[in-house]
Amino acid sequence: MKKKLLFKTIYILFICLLSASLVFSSSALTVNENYYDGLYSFIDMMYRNELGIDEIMGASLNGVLDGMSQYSCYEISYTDTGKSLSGIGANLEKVRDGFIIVSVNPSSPAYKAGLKSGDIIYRIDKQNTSVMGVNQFKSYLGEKESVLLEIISRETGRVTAVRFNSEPDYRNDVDYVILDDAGYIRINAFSETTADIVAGILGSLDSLGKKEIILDLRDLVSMNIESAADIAGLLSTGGTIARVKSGTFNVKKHEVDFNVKILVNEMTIGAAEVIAASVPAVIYGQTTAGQAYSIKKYPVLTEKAYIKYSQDMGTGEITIILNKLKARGIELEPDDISGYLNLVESGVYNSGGKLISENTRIEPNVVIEDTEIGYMDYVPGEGMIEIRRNYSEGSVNYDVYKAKSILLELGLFDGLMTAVFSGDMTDAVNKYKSSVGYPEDGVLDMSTQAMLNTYSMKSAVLDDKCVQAAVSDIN
Amino acid sequence: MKKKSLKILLFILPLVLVVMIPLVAANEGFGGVLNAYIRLIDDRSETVIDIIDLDKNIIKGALSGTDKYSYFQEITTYNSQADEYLDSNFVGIGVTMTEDEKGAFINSVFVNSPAYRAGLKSGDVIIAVNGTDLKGKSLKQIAAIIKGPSKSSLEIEILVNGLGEPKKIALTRDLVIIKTVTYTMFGDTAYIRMTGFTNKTGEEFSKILEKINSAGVNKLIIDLRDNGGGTVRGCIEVARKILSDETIVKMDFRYNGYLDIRYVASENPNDYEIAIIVNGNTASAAEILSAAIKDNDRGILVGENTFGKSLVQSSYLILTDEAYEKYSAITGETNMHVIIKTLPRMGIEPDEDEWLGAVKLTIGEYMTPNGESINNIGIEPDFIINYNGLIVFDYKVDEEIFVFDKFNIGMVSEQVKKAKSILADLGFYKGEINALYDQEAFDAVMQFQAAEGLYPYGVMDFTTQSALNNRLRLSNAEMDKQLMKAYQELTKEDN
Repeated sequence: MKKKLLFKTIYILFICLLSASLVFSSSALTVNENYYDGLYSFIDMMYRNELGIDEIMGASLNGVLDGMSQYSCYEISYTDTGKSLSGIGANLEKVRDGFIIVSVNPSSPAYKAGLKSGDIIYRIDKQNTSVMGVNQFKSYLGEKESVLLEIISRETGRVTAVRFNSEPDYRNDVDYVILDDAGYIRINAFSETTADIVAGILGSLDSLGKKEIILDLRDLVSMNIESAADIAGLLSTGGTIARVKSGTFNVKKHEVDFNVKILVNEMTIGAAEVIAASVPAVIYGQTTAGQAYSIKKYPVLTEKAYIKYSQDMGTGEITIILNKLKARGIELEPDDISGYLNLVESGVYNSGGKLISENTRIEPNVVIEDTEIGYMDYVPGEGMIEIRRNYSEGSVNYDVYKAKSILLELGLFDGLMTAVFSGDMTDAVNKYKSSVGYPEDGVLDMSTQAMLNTYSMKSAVLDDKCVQAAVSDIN
Repeated sequence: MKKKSLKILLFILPLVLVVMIPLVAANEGFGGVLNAYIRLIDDRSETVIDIIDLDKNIIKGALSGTDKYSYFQEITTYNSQADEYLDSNFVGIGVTMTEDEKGAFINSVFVNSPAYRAGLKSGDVIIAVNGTDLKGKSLKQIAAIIKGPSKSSLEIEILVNGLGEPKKIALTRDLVIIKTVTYTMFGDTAYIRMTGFTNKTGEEFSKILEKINSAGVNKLIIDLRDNGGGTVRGCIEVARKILSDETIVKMDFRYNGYLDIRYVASENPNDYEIAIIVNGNTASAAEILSAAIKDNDRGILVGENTFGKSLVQSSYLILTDEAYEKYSAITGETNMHVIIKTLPRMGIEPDEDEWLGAVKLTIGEYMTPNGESINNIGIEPDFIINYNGLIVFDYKVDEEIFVFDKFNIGMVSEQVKKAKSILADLGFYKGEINALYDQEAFDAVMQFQAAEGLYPYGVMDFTTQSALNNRLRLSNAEMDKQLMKAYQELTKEDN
């Protein structure tokens, strides 16, 4: 009897707690809907152009996120219009004020203008870029001959304005240079395909019998933890790479045949720190930044889609709607989405289980004062391809000739040395692309051309205190 | 039995609650979608939402999705934007400003003010005063920092055109005489300088025009360089004086409650020959006037392509969340603006703390008389002349003779010294520049009079002094290529 009473008490207590917690969670933060409807109808009535709800929803959500991490932000959904994309020679990721510079390409307009990793592009031709997506930005550059960009310096916090002439944009996620004793790999950006490219490079190094890798993670500001975990998995012997709120990145135990040397500096941030912490390696350079966030992306439904799906799914809660849609295998139509909300869900725990923070910065094994990347001033020489457009079978261009010369040196091409993109050239390009992890589509695209160019960058890469230290430790 | 039902109830209750939570109603409209995503952010974000400033942050955010001229204003800023500092003379540096995200944006610079002499221009942004950062300060606070005792000095930091590295400039505060219109004569041409448009500009312009008319002059050079605009009313009043029965501008508003206005000049003025000088800083209301002259074929434009801002803004107060609910219930309206418009009719005035702030919105655009939009395009002058130098008239006023007395041999005056200086520059006088009207000066004046076609008798009378001033202006004006072109074109039509 007494036991039963105890049970009952515990049960009632449990229910009280549960109810309390439910009441608490149901009083989730909300704003006065009537107020915002009244405000919206007023602005829409007065403002010179018709303003759709969906048009200013994203910008309003950026307002809600004010004061939170820069990486929590809204971004307009951008459907490729087929217009040519232009760039300034820097890799970008979306943040609330605009775009953060992940890395800067050698001798690019961005490099010449003094832009650095971590700087933020916040206005373009005096317009805010707070809701603009990266591809939308590149498409805008493509439409203009020149643009005025306003940039917030990470170092000084000051705004500078620089005029850029737009130039063709191409992805060059990885620079790969074969040195005498090692393969030098610099990660420039983290994307869905970066890990595949690195895997390809590791395969080609393996076939060349090279066991030494210098992995350059300096001046690299990215929060793509997933891509970083994929890359780290290739060089880690197994176990946990990183843990975030929504899951853990694990990799099976496996043999790694490479001796890895990693280069870092104070601008090695986020994704790069995940790699540096989990890959067994000797680390050269300066202490890393100690800052990483896990970002989750949620589609922002248009008002019409929100009403439709909430009726279909019987709830007004976005997360439940999205989960139910997923469970039922229903894909959102492009018209249903006005944009995406990137939310920082948590920090990132490194392979040692510690939160990446100012207290867990990565200290190099070999401290090097000068961590400047050696080949940033590198100017493409005569034998280099002038990256202007894609080539495929049938193309005739001097750049095809140059590409053939490089492939000849790599032992992948042995045909006629002409400017014609011949059938045997298609085979050579495919062989090369497969060796670096690119899809074998026979196209000599601009990214492949950029990768081919890196073979002649050897001496420039060696003009670097960190690379020199790493190389001298190999010998 | 009772116990059992209680038990069942206790068991079911949490289940019901669990089921009920997802049944949050989906509401239509802006507020409904916004709330759905605020719940998502609240639920899924690592850091918490800033609740205290949430309403302001959302409105600021929403307006960042519109054009660059539309933004949220704090109530203090809204209250201080009334033309208080335009209506009286004051001690300061001589600029009108609006707040900018970096500090104080300069709208216009008064002629001969300390800011003018230091080369500040409309479009520059003041970011600091005496080391105090202006970022985030209201206009009232900024004005208080800038104003001070006459002859006291201050150091400001500016961004030229709002861009680049900050530039430090030392200034001395002075009494600023607020005139947007000044004029001077040379020959049979009146040169009228307008640095901005306030609600008093029309009045100033009328007075000057009366003097010009009474002198029998009908050639006008209107200098609108570095004139960043101002009130539309000021500009319309000026245009009405120099156009007759022609369209000045068409206003195209989005809101149906605002009639699209076509301002028409109805007065019947003199048949002026007009040349307008413009440059890249000629914007907004100054462009309305320029386009009105150009499109109606009432004169020529000389200089550089204008700035190209034809969007019109207006500020509106907005209520706080609680005040909205309260007054929405009283008025039976839901639209914020309709509620606010209805309250005065009901004799209700909300308390100061019932206002959240204000929103400045682009509410429309003006079209030139030909129905063109010039936004981001500007107006192309008839004669394109590039010139980067000083607008010399504004700088040389001190060197002119102040005409109030006749001079003959033996008289001593500061004005004589100025006359000698001008005669020396013109090559008529080679002696010492002093205040004594001596024989040498007498001879020089006689030669000057002969050269000017005046009666050559050596006495420096009013006519002679005016002629000397005219020559001074012309010799200075020669530096100013845009002005010279305007002058040549106007006088050429004579022949």
